[in-house]
Amino acid sequence: MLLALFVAGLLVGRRRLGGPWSVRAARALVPAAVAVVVGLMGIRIGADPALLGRLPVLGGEAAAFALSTVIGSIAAAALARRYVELP
Amino acid sequence: MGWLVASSVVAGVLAGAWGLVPRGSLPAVGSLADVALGALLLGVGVEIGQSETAWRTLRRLGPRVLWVPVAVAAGSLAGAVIAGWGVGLTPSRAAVVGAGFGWYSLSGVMVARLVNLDLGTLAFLANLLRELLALLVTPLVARSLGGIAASAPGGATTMDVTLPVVARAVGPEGALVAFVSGAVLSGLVPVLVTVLARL
Repeated sequence: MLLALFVAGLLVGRRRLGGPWSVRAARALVPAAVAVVVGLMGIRIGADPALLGRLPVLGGEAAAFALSTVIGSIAAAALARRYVELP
Repeated sequence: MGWLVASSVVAGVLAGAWGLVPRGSLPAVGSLADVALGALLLGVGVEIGQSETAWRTLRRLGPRVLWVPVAVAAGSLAGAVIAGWGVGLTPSRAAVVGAGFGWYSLSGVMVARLVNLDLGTLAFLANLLRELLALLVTPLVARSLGGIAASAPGGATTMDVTLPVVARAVGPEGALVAFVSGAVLSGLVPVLVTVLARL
């Protein structure tokens, strides 16, 4: 369902269905929806004492993920330089 | 946008922790989050679909430019699997976290919805830290490895938040490649998170 909404959005944007109105509506909708979804996620995190207690551990694990994904992506992109040249 | 996200999530955590939201209404919170997430994905789709710059640049540079986001995605997922091995997560669960490519607001909420709140919180924090790290290391990567590699640290965020840093480090042509890479990766986030969450 979520994926279908995303694909529907891509089609609406690409084909300019609804004209400039759809783009203006999307630009207004996205920040508001982001604020709502992360706020609601925050409520669920705050209401879960076990998860709140694990936040310091999750922070350490998150740092490991951030570092590892950045290093992995840099290494792979450096390899991709063989196939792509800047114009 | 950064301040909006930070203040929303902090306000939400405090409201939840201090009991400002009755326990009985938490299922309704989940349902409301589903509706808002659907609206968010629809809006994001429209924004990416209508981005004429990305489509024009893709046509001008040719399909070979797609190697950049493919490489960034593969490297990110491989890095996530390695990190997941270190913290005791299965490869598929670790890959879900890495599939956010730095887009913390969307990936965190999607993972929380499709897998569980613990992994969603980890995805949110990991991708938030990735964006911050990208802002710090992109100039260094550009100097030592060149313009293509400079697109890598920011992942999906090179089409918005980290684009100015990339542009300053590698110039306008490198910034166009980074923009296309960010746009493609942004389009991949909802797809990959959904697919990997089901493994």
